[in-house]
Amino acid sequence: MKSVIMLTASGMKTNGYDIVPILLDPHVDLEENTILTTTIGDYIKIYKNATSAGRAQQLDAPAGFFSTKITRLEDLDALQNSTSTNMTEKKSFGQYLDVGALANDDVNNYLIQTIYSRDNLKNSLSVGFKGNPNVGTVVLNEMISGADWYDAFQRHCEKGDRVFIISSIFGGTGAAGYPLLEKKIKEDKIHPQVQNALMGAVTVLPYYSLDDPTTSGSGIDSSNFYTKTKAALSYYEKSVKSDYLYYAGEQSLKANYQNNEKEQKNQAHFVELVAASALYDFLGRERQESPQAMTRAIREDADPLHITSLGDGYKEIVKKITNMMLFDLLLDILPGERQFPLKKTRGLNKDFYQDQKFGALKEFVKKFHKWYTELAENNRGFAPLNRVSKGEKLTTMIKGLTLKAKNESYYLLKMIEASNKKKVQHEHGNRFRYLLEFAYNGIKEYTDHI
Amino acid sequence: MELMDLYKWGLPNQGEYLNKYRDNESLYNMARSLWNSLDSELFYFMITFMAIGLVLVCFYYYVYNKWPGRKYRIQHWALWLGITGVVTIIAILCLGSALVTSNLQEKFGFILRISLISGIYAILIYFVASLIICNIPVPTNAYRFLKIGK
Repeated sequence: MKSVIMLTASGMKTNGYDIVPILLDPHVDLEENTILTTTIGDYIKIYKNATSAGRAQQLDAPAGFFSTKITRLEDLDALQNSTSTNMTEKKSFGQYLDVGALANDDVNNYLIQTIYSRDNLKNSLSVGFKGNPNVGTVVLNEMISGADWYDAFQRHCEKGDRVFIISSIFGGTGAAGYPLLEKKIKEDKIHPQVQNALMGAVTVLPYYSLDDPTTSGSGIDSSNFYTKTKAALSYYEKSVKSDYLYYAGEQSLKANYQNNEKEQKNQAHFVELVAASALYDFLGRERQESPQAMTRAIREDADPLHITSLGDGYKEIVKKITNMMLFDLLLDILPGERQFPLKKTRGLNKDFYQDQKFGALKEFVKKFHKWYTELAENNRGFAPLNRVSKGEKLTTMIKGLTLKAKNESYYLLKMIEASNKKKVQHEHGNRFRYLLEFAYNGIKEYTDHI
Repeated sequence: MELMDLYKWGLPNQGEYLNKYRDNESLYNMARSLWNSLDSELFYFMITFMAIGLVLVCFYYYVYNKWPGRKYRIQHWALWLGITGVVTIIAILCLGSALVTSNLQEKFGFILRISLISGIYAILIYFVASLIICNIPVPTNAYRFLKIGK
């Protein structure tokens, strides 16, 4: 989901669709969960800043960066509870099932002990399902059935809307949640607009391993990932009926993370980027007569991946990421450009750069930079760009490709030229919007050929 | 106003200058001829400094600023201001040497003074034209630091 937000911010096209992300994660204390929620909130603020023109006037979505509207479901429906609130009970799974109320010789007790291990029953639900879809299935099913967010989703889903589910297949929440949610939607006869919504999903196959659980004391053993995946796939084969089902995965568990289910400080990974790209592909496709299974390859088995080893299909992503990284560079430079012409003509002055709107944008773009760095440094690395900073030569910014712009002054000049083009849509007076649009127009002059 | 009035402040008084040669008729005639020659060529000098001032200011705002390299910065504007002065001085020195004929030694001194004065006027033209360009709604990639008001 983080990759979706980052790619959308960089200007990936959603074919005119707005995005309403619904995050289902019982592990609400997870820092990464908080970061994601904050990032979505930051994106929404930036989009609002770019589309407001004072006196309650609304501008069209900007072209380029932040061009897609993202709305939280709770903003559409004034929901008080987050989508995950009722999953965060500090109960163990055994308490959730009320196993203690069963007599020792009760047949149901025997059944539970057959299906679930003691560890399963002891697991606290507030940290998720620890890679156990058999636990997730039970809890999630009830959560979806009675949840405020699902009612709100039913009310707000309109004819022509699409549903896209992003999940992993080797954990607990995603592996169990995807088929449950899909079934729930496909069987929703009371709401035909929900039932008939074109549905896509991406399921992420195992791509990382975790430290040995015997040394870390964790309840998750990554050596079971493939077994769980095979089991889930055999179930999916017969049960899931998404119009488009995308599979994203790795040849082996190349990345290795610390086995800490409470923190899960995993770095952004190329497979997540590929999974996110499935959304944009899905939004450009039409309904087919039968479910379509989709996958995506890279041209060469290389690590790290560059533009040539990635293949032509990734050029759009590389282009958008390059644009955003150049934007990051410009955001660093612009406040120090005291004689920049747009200071006089578009009000990009000291006050503007000290304003909270600019600060929020800069912070978001810094997060984007960090996200890309994580992608580049992970295994397998996605590193089509060379590291660049102020004053450095920019022609070799993309590995294996030469850009015509030698340094940042080329982009600053194109920004000025974009600002000089007289257009009716430039008469709004929104300085924030000027910055976003002129920077994008300036940058794409040199990166459009990628 | 005569053209000579534009240069009077930087040149010796005509009467005083000619008086130096009142004892030698031949030199007096040559001096008067030099002065008249300078006076008659002043129109071309004026056209030259005006043309150089205007051409270079337009070049700065509409051509030079299309090149990358942060040409919009004031230091580049000042550089072209200086170039305008120097080019004008050199151009008028060459033009004066070609147009004004005299064997008097003062010839070069006079032409140099006229060149320097023309250089100053060319700089003034460059400045005034910049002031106008910065305040009219014609697109330029340069920084409009002479724009009056916000």
